[in-house]
Amino acid sequence: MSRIQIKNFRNFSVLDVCLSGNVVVVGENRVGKSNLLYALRLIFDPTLPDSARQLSQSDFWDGLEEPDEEDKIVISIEIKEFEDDLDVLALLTDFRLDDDPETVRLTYEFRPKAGLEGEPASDDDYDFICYGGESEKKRFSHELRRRITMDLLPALRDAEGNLATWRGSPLRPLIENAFRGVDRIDLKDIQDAIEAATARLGDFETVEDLEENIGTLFAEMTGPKQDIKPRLGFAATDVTRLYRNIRLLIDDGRRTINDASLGSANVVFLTLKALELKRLMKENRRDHTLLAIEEPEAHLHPHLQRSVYRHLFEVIGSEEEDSPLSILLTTHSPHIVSVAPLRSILLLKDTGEGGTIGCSTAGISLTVAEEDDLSRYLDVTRAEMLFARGIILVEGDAEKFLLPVFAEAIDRPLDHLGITVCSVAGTNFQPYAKFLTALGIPFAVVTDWDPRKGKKRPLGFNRALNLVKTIEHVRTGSVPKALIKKLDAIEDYNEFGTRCETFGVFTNIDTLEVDLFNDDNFTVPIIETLREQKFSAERQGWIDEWEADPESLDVEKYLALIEAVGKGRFAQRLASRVTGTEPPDYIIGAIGFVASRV
Amino acid sequence: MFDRALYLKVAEELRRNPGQWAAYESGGHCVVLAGPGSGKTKTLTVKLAKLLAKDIQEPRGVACITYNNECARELENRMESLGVEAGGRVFIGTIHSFSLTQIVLPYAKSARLGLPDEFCIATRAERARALERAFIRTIGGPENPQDWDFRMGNYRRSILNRNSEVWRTRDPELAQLVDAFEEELRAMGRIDFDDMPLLAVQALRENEWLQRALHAKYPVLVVDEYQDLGRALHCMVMGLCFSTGMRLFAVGDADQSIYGFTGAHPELLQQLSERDDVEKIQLRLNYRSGSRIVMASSYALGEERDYEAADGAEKSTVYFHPRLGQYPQQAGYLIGTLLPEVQERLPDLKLRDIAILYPAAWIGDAVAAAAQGHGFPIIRTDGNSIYPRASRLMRWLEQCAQWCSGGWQTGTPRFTRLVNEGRRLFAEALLTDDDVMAFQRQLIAVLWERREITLSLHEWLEELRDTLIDELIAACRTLHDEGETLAAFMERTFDGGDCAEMVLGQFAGQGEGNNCVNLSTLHSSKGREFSVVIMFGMDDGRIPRANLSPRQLVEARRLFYVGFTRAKTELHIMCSTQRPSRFVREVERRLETEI
Repeated sequence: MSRIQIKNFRNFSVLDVCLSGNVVVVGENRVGKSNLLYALRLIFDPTLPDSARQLSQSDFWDGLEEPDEEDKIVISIEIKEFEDDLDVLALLTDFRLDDDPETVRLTYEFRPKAGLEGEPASDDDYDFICYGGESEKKRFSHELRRRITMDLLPALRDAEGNLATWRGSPLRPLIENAFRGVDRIDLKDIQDAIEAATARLGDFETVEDLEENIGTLFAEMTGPKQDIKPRLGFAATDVTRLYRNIRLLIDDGRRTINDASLGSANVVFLTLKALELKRLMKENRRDHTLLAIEEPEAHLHPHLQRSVYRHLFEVIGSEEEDSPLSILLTTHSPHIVSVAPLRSILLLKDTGEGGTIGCSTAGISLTVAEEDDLSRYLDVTRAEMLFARGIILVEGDAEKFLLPVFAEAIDRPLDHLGITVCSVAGTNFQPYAKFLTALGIPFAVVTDWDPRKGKKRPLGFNRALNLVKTIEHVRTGSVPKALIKKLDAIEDYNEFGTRCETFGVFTNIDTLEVDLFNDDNFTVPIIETLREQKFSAERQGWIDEWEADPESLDVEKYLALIEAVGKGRFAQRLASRVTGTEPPDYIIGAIGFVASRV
Repeated sequence: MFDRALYLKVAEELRRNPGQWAAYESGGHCVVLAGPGSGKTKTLTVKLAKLLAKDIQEPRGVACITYNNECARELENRMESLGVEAGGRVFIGTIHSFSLTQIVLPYAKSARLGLPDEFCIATRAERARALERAFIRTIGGPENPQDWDFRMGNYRRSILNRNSEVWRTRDPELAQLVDAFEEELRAMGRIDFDDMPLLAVQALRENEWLQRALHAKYPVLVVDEYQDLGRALHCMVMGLCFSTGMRLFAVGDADQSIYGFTGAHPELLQQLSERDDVEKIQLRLNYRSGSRIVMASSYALGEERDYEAADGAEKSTVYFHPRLGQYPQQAGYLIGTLLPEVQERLPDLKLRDIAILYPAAWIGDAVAAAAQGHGFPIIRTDGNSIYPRASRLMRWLEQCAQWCSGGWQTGTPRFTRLVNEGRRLFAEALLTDDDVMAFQRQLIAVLWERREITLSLHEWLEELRDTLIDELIAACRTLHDEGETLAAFMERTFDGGDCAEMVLGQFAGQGEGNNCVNLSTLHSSKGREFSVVIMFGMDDGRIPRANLSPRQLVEARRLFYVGFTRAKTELHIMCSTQRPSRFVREVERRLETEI
């Protein structure tokens, strides 16, 4: 799938997002994740009857007061790279776009019936159609859904219950298939063995007594004509039904699946489902499956979540091997998102008035190195960025430890606001800026000015300039040439800094530690923090000098001391001393920038 | 899925004939050269069933291209009796409908054919107008522009690549005329019949993905009557089968190639069968004609073909009837003397097993008049029939008329059949199940009220047209021409028209399955068979016509041969005593020396 468009459906006024293969939908509760899945079911799910495809007026977007004769619900899916599998090609080829034969589109529409006089008044005034390409005459129906199918594992699935009953168990079709090739004569031996084992039960006197008691009482109650002759045994021995007694066992066969934890049962369920889907496709009963799993994290320990879904993405639904399986997850779990392919993320957000909108990572232009960086970052940080309402990107641990304290000090507690401080461990902000801009997550960059000796421009100048360029490029879709030229020409660094701040890029005068030292509020706590360390007498002497005359600060030596402590450790120690202290302006600005946008 | 037992049973019958069996078993590209009466349709249909049951898995299918709509219907019926339903995975139709429904309509935009939005198929009047405008723009002069139609069509169909040198230089005047004609059509939002395969070839040539898409849908392409399908088809076959990877199963007989003017050439089939990557199979046993007719046929063709009548073929005779006088007198003899003699000789013979074949439709007028005079019921399938036999709409109306003329009681035809055929005919207008239900309700309502043999045909047609057909045709871009055909026929059934007296029962009698003598041109008799064939007007100047090129002369001879090979037990050759066809003389002479 390369694109989803939804118009006027439940939470969605207009949703239009690019996709790239597998999809992981992330969003807060009630934002419309399940509605998105339902929208896809309208197109792809063969188990959904047409009566369910006939929506009702209440399914129109909540923001639409009275749908009139122009309003309709439209859901369309675009698909690319459908030409490799000839079966899929045969099914989809007629539905290409007029101006782009490499893309096919499937559309569901719920709209007022043709020839209606006046405005639609009730559900009966509506009908739905499913068509492909750009012509309503190219209808598609069950024939297509039967072969390109969506399978939904709902959020509240009862994996254990399903595994326990024969009918609902995903094990059933697999077992039936496995036994299809087995000769009945070969089963006879098993039948004999079970009968023998059952006969041995009779060797135990108490068991035999019980069986006899049951049999006698039953016969007495029903009379001889209705006697069904109840017996005790390990399994029914009718050859044709023998396999129905097969159970999935765990712990080397010592216990049944019913004794497994909920989490294990869920994984087993998923395993069996994946096998069954593979079988269907191998036997050419189906050509492609869209496996949708709602909240797959249910009952799974974080490490198991990562391991199971990493396998699902990298092996079973791998995009590299033309897998006939596409995966669609809706999740709240950072652990699952953190192992999802970078390009698969679809973030849903409620904008209030405008309904839910979506942003995806599919279309971001990233170099291979940037993509690797981001993937790794999301992996190790458990994708915390994607679950925040706003982000402050910083260079290192120092800022990471100090910013929350600063925010408290100005009464903007980050946790309440849902803002996360993310350290990029360096100054390579570019990929993160692209990523966050594309996903529409409000963010600010806090970075050092890093002045250089001589006439060279400060490093922070070019960094800020390039960030503004990237942010505006991704946001607007084109390179902001004029803007950059204008910014580049600004001679006054203060003015330049102020201009950059309007784009969310905040810089200081030197580096964080130097700026703080030069801030009267922080000089004393910094000296105190340095004093905590057991420095040599010579170094102690430097500190004494700076304390006596803060103007005499030797930046190089000062940074060497902090380096010796470790920037992060130093910041941590300092943090406990500056609670309630007002931070430098550029930090206040950055926090305010994000806070006002979440 | 379908019941495999049905086709497997018939397949067993092929085992006795090594050629048929080899065709059935073939796994790669295969060309079957099938002589007359060699059971080619049976082989083809069983092969199709096998392809669908074994070789091709859902959702992919088979495309089967045939010469005309009647062949397609015949194949569909035969497939049905083998338990295979057309539709869905199986396409059966003409090269025109294949081009239109599988390529031009679905991909006009994405294949960048540059056609007007919502284009329709031009009616004859629209075509004539476009030709007139084009003629004035390019050639001009006092000539009737419509006289150029035939040459123009021929030029269009024989040189497919418009970018080629040949196109520009062979006849620059015609090339210009064609270009202007097509421009005029497009400006009117139209394409014409000849455009369909040409546009399809163009779309395939310019879009590689489209070739792959067709290969995906139809991994096997089956072609019937290959020799008559022309250059456009050959071009598609070469591309789709020998470079994209579709598998080809083609059936044909170069000796029966009689449509040179549509761009067909027997050599194309010949070349195809001689390729190294093609399995060539020859079917030589003739199950249709008795040995005497088989022998006479080979003299008629003038080439040695190693055909023989199958064991148990009926005894057969060849008669010559040179007659004096004009065609009306000769026709009088045919109907008044010859036919009764035949009937006396073969008392069980049904009229529908008799065919009278002539070289040109106007010659048939004499026969039709004589038959009318003697009260013989006839059915004409040539250009002078009361409406074109190829009209799908008219054929469907005939069936509806049959149902109204008592067919509703006996289930001939069954109503569901009317609905199904109507559904296919008006497919563009009947998109949903609801549409089809509504169509079915309207159809039963209008027919049920009018099931009376003596009803005026005009009234019946008018009612059907006003309540149902007009609206459907308006919604079908491909049926405008059919609408015009119906209008022209209704004109004739209206007051003052030559069919004004016609009642419903008579119209119903025009349909297949009625007991009438068949009147047809040699051309239109292709692919059919009759117990008794009477070839009428086999005169010099008629067959062959005068002043033919060597190429046309050979084709005329093949046409003569096609007439011979339609007959099972009796073949009668009628000619004018003064100027018998040279073909007739040769056959007569050689048969005499044989004895």
